[in-house]
Amino acid sequence: MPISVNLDVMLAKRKMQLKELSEIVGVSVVNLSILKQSKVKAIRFSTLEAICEALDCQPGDLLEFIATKEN
Amino acid sequence: MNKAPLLLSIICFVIYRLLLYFTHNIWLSLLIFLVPIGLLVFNFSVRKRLSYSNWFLSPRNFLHERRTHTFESELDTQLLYAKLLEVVDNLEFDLLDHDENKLKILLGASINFLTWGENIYIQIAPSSNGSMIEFTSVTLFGNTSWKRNDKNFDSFIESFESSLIV
Repeated sequence: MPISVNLDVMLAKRKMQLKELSEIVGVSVVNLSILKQSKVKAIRFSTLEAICEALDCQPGDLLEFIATKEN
Repeated sequence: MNKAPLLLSIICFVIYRLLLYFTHNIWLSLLIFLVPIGLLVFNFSVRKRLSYSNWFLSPRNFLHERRTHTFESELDTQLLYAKLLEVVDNLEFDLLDHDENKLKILLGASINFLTWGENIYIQIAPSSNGSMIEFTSVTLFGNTSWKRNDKNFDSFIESFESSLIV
């Protein structure tokens, strides 16, 4: 998938557990795990906003476009 | 349309008429209807256990209408299992039983005007792209689900797809 989610990187930088983030942003651990694996269909602005606020980062720190050969 | 239960009902009625004709005892004749009633009671008593799934899913069991849909997901089996349990919480179905080791989930649709309810068996298996999900909806009793089996799948897949928007 060309869009990669760097949630695990940001969690490691902030020394935060997925469960902890889940409690702060109000998104289940299962959903955050799926997001971490870049396997969600879409992400709501409200979720992105909550994660950015909790991790004190920018959306660009979480999402990355990886160019493939077709692109 | 599975005509076997209808045939069973007709056979019961014919036997009832024959018994009534030969014995002239209405109560003795009515005992024949204990067969379909007994089957219904048996189905209700075993519906909530995954261990009886073979009874409902066996192709040799001609008394139920069942419909199976298979689809793939990118999620790995354990994550998908957890996700499906979460999805089920938001559906109109009841979670009757689940087995994390065998990756099986059993849901129940309630009785409605058309059917005696349906059992929904979900089996997750690993595949090359992630996981394979086998969704089977079975009527508890009756020769037709009146498209309830298909509607159950539509409702399930819609909820699953929308749950992937976080």
